[in-house]
Amino acid sequence: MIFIAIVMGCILGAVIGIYAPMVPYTYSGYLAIAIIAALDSVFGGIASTLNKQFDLKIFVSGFFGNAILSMLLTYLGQKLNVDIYLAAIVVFVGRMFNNLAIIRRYYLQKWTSHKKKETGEKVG
Amino acid sequence: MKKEKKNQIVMTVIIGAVCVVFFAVMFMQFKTIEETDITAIENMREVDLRTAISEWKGKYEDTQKKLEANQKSVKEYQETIAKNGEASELVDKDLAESNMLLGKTDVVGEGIVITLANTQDYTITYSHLLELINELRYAGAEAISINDARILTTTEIIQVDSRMQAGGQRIASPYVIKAIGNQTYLSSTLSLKDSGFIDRYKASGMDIKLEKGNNIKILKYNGDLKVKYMKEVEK
Amino acid sequence: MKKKQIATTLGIMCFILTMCIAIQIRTVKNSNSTAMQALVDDGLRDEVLRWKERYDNAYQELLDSEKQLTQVREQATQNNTTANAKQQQIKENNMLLGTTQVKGAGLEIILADNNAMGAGLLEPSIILVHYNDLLEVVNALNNAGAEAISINGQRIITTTAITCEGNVIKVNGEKISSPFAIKAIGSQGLLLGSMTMAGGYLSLMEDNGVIVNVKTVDDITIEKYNGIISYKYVKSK
Repeated sequence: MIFIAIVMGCILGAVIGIYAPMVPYTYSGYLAIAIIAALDSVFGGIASTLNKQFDLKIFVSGFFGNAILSMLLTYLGQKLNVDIYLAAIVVFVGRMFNNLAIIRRYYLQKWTSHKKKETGEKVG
Repeated sequence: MKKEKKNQIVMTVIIGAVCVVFFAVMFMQFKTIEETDITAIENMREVDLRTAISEWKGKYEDTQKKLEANQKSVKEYQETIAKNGEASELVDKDLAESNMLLGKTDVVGEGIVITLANTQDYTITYSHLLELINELRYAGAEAISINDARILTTTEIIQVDSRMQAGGQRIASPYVIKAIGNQTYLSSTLSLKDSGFIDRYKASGMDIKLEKGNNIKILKYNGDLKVKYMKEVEK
Repeated sequence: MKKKQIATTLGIMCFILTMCIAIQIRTVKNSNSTAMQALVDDGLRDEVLRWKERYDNAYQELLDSEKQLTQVREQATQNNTTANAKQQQIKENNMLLGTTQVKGAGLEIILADNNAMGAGLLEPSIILVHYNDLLEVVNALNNAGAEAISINGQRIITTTAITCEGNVIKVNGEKISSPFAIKAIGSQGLLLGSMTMAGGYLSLMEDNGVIVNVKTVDDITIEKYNGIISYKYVKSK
């Protein structure tokens, strides 16, 4: 059911995005950071699901909270003449890679143990 | 048990909603980036951006004007249809307009006259004329003629030995090229240092004269335009 | 007592921090820093995109209204033979002007930079396709009686200029690049014969090393001009 919700959400979101008015160029930089932050939360969510530690509250608050916070920081950075968004990108993308590694290891382990079982059965 | 189910529904809805927001924002961003890419404004600086703005603005205004004119004539046609009246006057007007655009009528307007002449050590070839016409078009010329032969889209300029023809008409030196358009823009584009036609060829010895005129007359295309091979694609 | 101390320290630190931020913001605002310039540029980029969007919308509307105009014109003239003939003439004019999409028998020419060969040559630019090559080919096609021509989807109309800015070729103000697909509608025999003629412009280009490929196509579609033709300076007499 959750899977269906995800797919439906993605399709609906894409349709809304395509027909929505264009984002002004000034804000497109902020939006990019927000997207990266949200993407980070998504991978974090997947990783924690695999570890059976998924908490909806943490996920949703992280999703919106990180996005808004990173936008605010970018804004502050622009006011202060420092490219804070670069730091945000480094952190978020770094975390994204971490989470991707967790996901990859989980499935790799699952695959190898499955294979072992199979061959074990054949031998036995 | 029941509570668990409720929890799951809540979770499904929230995750779905999160996906909607996420993808909507992402696609909006994609669109902006794509437009930015198409208009190539990513690396432009202030001055270029200002010209780009005025360019798009001009295009928008032209389109808007044409749109209004179109809507007006649609209305006029609809009125004649409703009254069962004669539409020939309207069609005549439209046809005249389209013939004018095509070059089937004599036209007047402000513009420039360029005279190129063969000298003893410099002979003008058809490629010079091609290049000049191209540059005039770039500078926004709306009607062009060479020695009173009107230059249309399909007009070729050919040279066999020293004889030249433009659109089937014989032309010879001195070549008088008339162009109607914004006087200042036409003459300044052609006279641009190093890259303009006049500056480039004067340096190599060509005999070029440029005159501005407020009332340049360009004759109509002297031949008939027939469509033989192409058909309209209705969409 | 200790709490008080902590509170004062924190207070002072906060005071310093906010002061610094405020000063920095004021300095950045007053000086013409790169960040400020970037902000101005971004604002201008916004405006470019907004105008382009407005143009796109208006253009779309114009296309619809043009279609409608053709329809009502047809409807209004269907009972009158002379008026109908004029209506047909307008349609034909539009085909010649390039404001309608057309199809027919014709020729397709592909010209491409021969990058593989350019490396060892003394004059590597001769294996590239230049804007004047395109001008010459269009002229040659016109000479062979082409009725409609397009280069990489850009219809050639009376106001079309083929220009070169740096190493970018532009047709109708739009960037195009190698390979160039030149489509032309007209008498296939005439077009093919004059384009593949020995000593013709294309054969010269091929000798130089440019990749040239000519083939006849029985049903070739040529796109309409993507814009409007409006004259501001030309007046009828």
